Amino acid sequence: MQKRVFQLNPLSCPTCAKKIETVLLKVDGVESAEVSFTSSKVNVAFEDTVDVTVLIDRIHRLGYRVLESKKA
Amino acid sequence: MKKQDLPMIVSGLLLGSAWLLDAMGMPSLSDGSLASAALIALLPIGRKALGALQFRMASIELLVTIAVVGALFLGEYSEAAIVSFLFLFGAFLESRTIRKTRSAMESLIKLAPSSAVVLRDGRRETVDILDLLEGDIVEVRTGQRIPVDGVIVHGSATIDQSQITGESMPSEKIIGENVFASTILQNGYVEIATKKVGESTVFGNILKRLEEAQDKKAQTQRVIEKFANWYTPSVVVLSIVTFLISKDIRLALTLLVIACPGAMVISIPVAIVAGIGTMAKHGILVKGGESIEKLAKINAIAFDKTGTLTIGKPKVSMIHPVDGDESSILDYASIAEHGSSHALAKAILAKAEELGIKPSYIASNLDVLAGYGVVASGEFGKVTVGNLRLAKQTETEFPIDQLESYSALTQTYPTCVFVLLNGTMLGYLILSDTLRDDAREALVSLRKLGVKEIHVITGDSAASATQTLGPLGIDTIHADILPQEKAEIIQRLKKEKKVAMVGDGINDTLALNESDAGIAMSSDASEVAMKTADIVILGERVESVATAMRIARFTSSVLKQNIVISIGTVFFLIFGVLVGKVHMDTGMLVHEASVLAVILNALRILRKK
Repeated sequence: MQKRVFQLNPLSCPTCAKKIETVLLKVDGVESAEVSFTSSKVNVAFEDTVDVTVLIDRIHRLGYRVLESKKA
Repeated sequence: MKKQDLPMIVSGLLLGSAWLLDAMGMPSLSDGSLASAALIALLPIGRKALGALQFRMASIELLVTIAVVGALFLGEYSEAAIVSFLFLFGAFLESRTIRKTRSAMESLIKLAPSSAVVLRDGRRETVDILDLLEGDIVEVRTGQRIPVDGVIVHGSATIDQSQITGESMPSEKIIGENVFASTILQNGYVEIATKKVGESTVFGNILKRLEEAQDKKAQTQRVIEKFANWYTPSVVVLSIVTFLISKDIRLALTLLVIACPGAMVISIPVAIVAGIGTMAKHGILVKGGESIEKLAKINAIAFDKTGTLTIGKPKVSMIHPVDGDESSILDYASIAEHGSSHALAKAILAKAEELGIKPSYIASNLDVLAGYGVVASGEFGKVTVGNLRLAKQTETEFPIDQLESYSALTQTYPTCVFVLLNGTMLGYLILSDTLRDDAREALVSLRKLGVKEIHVITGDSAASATQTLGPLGIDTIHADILPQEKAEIIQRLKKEKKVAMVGDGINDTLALNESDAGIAMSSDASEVAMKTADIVILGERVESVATAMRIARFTSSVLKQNIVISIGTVFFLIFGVLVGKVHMDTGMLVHEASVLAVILNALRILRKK
């Protein structure tokens, strides 16, 4: 089990946060995904089998940029 | 200007030129300009819509895209252009104003320096905070912020610690003393051995808590989000049904445009963020939106006396001479207490210093009797300074039966220190906890805010508590209370009122938990206090309790106004569209205006004091 925090560009609507959560949760092995609208951070917990770049790529494809990825 | 704003700007310019062309009597060129304005604005909107669609999610952008494309096919170029431009322009204004609601918080985060000057192998190096190791020696000069939590190993300085302790008076720090990240070195030079950096510092903990607080959803917020989740799909269904019945595609598309729940979902978070940030600026840390709502509803407050309304440290409040005068009593008392770090000794020495009395002898022999007092002897004879028990044991010329009458005295004044010289009672000192300077005003402010009942819970005797708290006009003093009984009292009060408990956060955990809103006053931002309380007040001002409540009340009313604005707008729009009074472009305008209105409304909280 791993945990990561992604810092995004400032989110401008709470619905964006919801979208990102939904997309990440659809990945196999992702245990939890919480997007903080106010701090524009994503907290995600996932099995070791999951490739972090896949998660980042999904966020990118939704149209949001990951500025920083930190282990938590 | 940023690259991402380009489509909005181009689309806006095309929209403007379309109106000019139309005015000059060139309708076909004007239509072309409008259509290109719509298409350019659709680029970023459509991209987001497709992005979400890949994951089988219908987004707001998708609804707008459908509506705009539909309008283009119907030849409604002007509506298509206005709707798509307004959507982008609205988002642009929203992100700028939302940034302002976050500004209070961001200015706090900037307080922590990101680099430090470290001394390694006799050389100075500027390094990133995260590259510092425990034990690294960092230097800090006048005017700089301290980058780490650590201990001074060289130099001394005056440090403004208000960020951490809430204490507005700067304090002098010397070798061996602890200093904290984010505090300001006002004057001096120090070298600090690093203990903690970044997120593990006290300041890092405060920030972490604030960040978490922003995302703790308020009760109202959950209700509204449920409503929004239900609202968007139902408007989409409504628009399909409308189309099937009326065969009016324009009407159906207009309903799609106004289906965005923008104002609704944003109305509460913006108010909460502004509220949390504003409180933080005043040294008040709040656990989250829910805590703000709870605090706003409070109409009774219970204070744990010691350390909240009072300073929590004894002071000499009265000197009663028996066979001596005030100055000789203090003189002999300070001979005996000289150099002691006991709280009562410190209070006595402070009083002597205040009156300009210096001990006239130095004791050659000191005998400290823990729990009783101290006996000092020297060329002056023998001085006994202590409580009633010690006074009784001492061979004294003072009639023992009269001494007995002091038992009654100690009921009212629990801390009575007797001073005897060679068995003669010189007199006694009464020490009591003193009220904080701002306690009185704070209670007045709280009453003005609508607090109906003010209670004090204390372990002291009723007489003693009444004596100290007299000037405050407390409604009920619960005296002789054991720590474990505090929570029971709160439980009882809760039956009739919404009760906040104010304590120091360490001894009052249960009572803080039991109360509707637990408020911890703490000068050291200890983690314990932060975990148990809804609100932590850094520093020692009781007035902050009133400030917290004032901001909470205001935030809560802004929140309610925002709900009315956003939901009102939605119903107004649906009604307007169905009766044919609101068209696609005005619908989008009103919708975006309502989003801005709730954000601007939340910004008012930032100015609250």
